[in-house]
Amino acid sequence: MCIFIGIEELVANALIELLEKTKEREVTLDKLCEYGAVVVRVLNKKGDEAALVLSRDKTNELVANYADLFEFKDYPDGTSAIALKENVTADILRAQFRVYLPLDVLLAFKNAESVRALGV
Amino acid sequence: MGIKQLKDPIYGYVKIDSNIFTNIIDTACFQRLRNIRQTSYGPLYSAALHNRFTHSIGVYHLGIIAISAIEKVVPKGIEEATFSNFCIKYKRLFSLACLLHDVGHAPFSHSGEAFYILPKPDELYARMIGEVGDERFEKDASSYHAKSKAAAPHEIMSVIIALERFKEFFQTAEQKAFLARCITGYKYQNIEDEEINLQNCIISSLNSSLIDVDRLDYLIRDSAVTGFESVSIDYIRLLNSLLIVYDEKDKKYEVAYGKGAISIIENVIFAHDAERKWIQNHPVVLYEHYLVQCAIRTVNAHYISDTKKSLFCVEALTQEGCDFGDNRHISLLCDDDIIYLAKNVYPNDLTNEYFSRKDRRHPVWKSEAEYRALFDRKLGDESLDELEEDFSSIEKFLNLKADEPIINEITLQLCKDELTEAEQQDLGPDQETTISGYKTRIKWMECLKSFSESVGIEFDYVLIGANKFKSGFMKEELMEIPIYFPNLGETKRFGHVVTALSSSRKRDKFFYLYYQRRDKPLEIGKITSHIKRALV
Repeated sequence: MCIFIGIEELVANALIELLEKTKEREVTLDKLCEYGAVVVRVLNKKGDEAALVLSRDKTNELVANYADLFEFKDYPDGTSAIALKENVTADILRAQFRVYLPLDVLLAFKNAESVRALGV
Repeated sequence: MGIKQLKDPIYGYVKIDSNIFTNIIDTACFQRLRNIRQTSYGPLYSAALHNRFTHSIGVYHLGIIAISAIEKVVPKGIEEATFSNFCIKYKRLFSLACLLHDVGHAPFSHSGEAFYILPKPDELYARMIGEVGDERFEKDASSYHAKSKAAAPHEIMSVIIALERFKEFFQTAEQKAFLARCITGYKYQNIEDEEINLQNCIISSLNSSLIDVDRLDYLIRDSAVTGFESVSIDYIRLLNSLLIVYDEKDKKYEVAYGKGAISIIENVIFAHDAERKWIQNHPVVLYEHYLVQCAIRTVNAHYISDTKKSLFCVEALTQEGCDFGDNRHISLLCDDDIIYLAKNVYPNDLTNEYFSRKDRRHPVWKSEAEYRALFDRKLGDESLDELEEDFSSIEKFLNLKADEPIINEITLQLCKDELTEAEQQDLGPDQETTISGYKTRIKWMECLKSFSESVGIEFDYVLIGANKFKSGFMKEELMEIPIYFPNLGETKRFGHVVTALSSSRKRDKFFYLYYQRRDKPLEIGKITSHIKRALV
């Protein structure tokens, strides 16, 4: 079974964890990539082949399709982050991006090792 | 230097120097593209048999026109001799980038390219960086990757194949880096001098989010080959209007179009809109893409589990090829290999469906318009939101979990089993959402099951989500295209000189539902009424 994890799932699930554990409302793209890599590793250990789909086209789609939820931020030091728009809560993200996850994928996103990659 | 010619049905004779012809086009690596279909439009337009080979030649041809136009007008502030030397240095490299931009494309083009990133996603990227061997390219590429704006897998693969197979054409690190930048679209991030700035201009002529020679060729070619009636694109006028201008505000050079190209730019957007709306989003084309992906997934999954090696590896694309654990040697991987394996070695119901049109599932509604007519006004916004979210949840769940993403007894039972498992776990704040999600999916699957039983058809459905149409006229990048007015001696932005269309729409996704027709056509009203009753 090949599991493709899209950027919207990665972003939303990272932000759910950050919001609930640290109240942070944004995730740097570096941390996001690290988080994604660990999620994939966790799934691979369970016998699933997983991969992240993080290409330019997909990222552009994220901004276009979920403009009410997320925004890009660029900082003077060159880092970039994806932030939650005002009033977007973990429950809103959960209802949209966790509701359809199979159990093993959900557990991989919540896994302690994965969440540590976010700096939590 | 001799010249050879290829006759193209759209552009007439395409002239190519003999060295490029013999040592690139005639090689097995490039000829492989003859066996990679350009589109999945075949079920809708049976003449859509064009391939990546003809497309690559077309892009090469348009690239030559584009760069020839650019080199005619010396940008303000640059010495004529400097600009001339720049064009001499980069014209040939740019044309080679155009020719080779798809040399690494996967079987079945975009349907297959996602499989390039399995099983080790970083390997492909690392290999590209190694091949280019340029620190600055690595830094800029890393910056794009860090912003999750990586090049598409086929672009990365094309850089790898181009540099590994055609070394004699790219001997210096600078040449390799330029080729890689053109194919991936990775511009220089820090522009410290004119030449770097001008390189960025040339790069965007092949790889841009809106108009470039790649998109131009496929829009013109797809329309011509399929017979789909689209607007005419005067590509000669468009490309001949290209020039490089200096933007005083941002203090940089950029590619602009002459004012005479405004109507053609609009036509390009119209043509792209039409292709996306009426062909790419057609349920038959979407279903073809779905079947192809299922076939590739099945075939490749066997290779990964048995040999720990993806069929979609660099070596399999070369003439030397690669040995796989099932005593099979694969070289010059193309559509035919996938078809052979899916048909003869790893067949299943979905792969069999790909080959037999008569046995394909049918869409219940056949267009976005029909979908809207059936559901939009009658249900009300809130109920329709609920329906679309629930069905999207089913589709996403099945794509993540099921080997065959079909709504049937197997996946219904899978949902029930996972619900039981979820109820026994402590998922913390996710408990309620997760349980609710499973129950909702089960509810809808049971709804479709009961409908099937009531009308005597199989409980067997495929759900494919589709994006509601958004015109390219709404893209921000379109508004920013520079248009040069020679009589004013000024450059204006497209958005300032052309009335922009704008609309807002709350919901931007809908879905197609496919069923097994066999000899029992479905009354569309019956199933939609059944779904609406379940919502209420």
